[in-house]
Amino acid sequence: MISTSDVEKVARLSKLEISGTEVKKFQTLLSEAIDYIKVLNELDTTDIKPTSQVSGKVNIFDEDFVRKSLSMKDVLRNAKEKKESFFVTKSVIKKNEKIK
Amino acid sequence: MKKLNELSIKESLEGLKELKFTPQDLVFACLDEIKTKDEDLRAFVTLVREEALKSAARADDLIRELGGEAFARFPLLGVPYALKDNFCTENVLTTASSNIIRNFSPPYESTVSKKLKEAGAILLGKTNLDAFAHGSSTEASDFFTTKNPYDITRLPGGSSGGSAAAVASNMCIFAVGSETAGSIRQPAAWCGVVGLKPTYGRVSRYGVISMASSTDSPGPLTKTVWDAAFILNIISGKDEFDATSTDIDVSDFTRSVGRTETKLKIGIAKSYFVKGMDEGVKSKVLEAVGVLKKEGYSVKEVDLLDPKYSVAVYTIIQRSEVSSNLARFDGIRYGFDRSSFGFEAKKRIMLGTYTLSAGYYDQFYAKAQKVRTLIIEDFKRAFSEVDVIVGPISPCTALKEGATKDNAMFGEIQDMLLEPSSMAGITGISVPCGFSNGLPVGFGIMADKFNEEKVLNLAASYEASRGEL
Repeated sequence: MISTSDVEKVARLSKLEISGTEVKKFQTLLSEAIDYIKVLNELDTTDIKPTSQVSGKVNIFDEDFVRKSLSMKDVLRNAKEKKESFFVTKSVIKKNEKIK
Repeated sequence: MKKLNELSIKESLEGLKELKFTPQDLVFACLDEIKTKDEDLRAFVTLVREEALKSAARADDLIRELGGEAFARFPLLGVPYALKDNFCTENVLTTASSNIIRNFSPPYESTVSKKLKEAGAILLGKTNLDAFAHGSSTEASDFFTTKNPYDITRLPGGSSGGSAAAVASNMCIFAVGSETAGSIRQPAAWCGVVGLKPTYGRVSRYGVISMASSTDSPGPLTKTVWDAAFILNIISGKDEFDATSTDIDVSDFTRSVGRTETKLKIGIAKSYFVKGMDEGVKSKVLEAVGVLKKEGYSVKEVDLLDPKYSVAVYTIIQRSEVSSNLARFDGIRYGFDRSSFGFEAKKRIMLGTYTLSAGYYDQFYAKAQKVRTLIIEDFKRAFSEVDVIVGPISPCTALKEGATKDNAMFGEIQDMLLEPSSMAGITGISVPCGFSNGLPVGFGIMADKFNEEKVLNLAASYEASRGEL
């Protein structure tokens, strides 16, 4: 069983807010899933190389040329808040804060 | 005589070419069917009625102007279709059936829908899915659940459940979906239509809202095997916007349909007839194998890894990729903030974050990547003995609404027979093989990477020998 503090930590890392009752629910569901995936320990994987993708391709390079891209208007049109040519986000540093 | 909306792609094109009916007739027939049935079935999230009628009028003009030449230039001219709502369509709402982007109007078109548009196909609307394609039932859609056309108290499967239900109920001529592990083949099986999962990399993922980037494969849901081959011709190929797409020879896939001079060697996956499987499903699948034997095919048993390992590998890898892919949804550039994620998305993000986090990475993610190698090698060995492997698609027929509730591993267990092939990136198809208690059963055929010809060849051969269902 994973702990409630683990659940809370994972939620924080995932930038998800979960309520107190949800913590319990996630604790059960995540624990069930984790118990299931432990079945992999039945298989010996010593000296087996990991697979991260199945395309068989490595380092695909593209010609570097200028192509038409989306207009600024189109790019910004789904934004909740915008100003001139920018997306508006919450500030990540405080006003007058010294950057160390 | 068939109603126009009941036609296959092949029949639609024949009729259009011979001027037996117009693209408007076809579009109206589908829209009428949608009007009659979709209130109950709920396959569509968005309809683009006016646009579809305009496109039909343009197609009609082209046919009048160019005659038969029009179809040489636009091979799908005037054929109406439905598209899963996780493909971006320029200026047409694209929601992934999720609340967090319920208002998203993409400024660009996915490669698949662009290719279909350029081929003359007419978009009717966008179909329902489990939100972000996270599920095997459409019950995890943030909007509503699609119903199975064979029994509206049951689920259509998923995640491409809206697309499968739309084809099965003749609300369109064909549909397009996407499969990460089972999301085309399982709903195809439950709704009694053909569903083709192409090899990973055969069809561009550009503009498809990412689920698990290392397995996502767009593909067709159709009424016949020939139709699936025809759509694959149009949507496959190298795309400069998807580095994993491939330039491996894209032949005319329809040529593999109906060609029988060489008989493929068939393997039957013993371990796929899992404990607890529906007897009705099992007997229908074995009946299909019997049909092929009678046609002179040699069939031998092949040993494959127990699918339970693929379920675990898939669970880890898919959740990990999901947690990374869904990190981009911040409500700044589009959509709403992260509190709008549905429960299923949250659950997957959380598990993926856990399996990727410090301290657990090696135990889970790295281990899963290694077992993924074992799965790939397992198929390699099997395909050195046989050309294709057959087996069931789903361990059961369509389940009742509510079946997914509080079942942590529902989708995984449901798709356990499809996860190995998805993890290995190989190709597979589901072809209808009859009914069990009035519900459709799917017959699965898999072949090695970039061997869609073999899958289509055997599927078509079976379809012809099987006859009408």
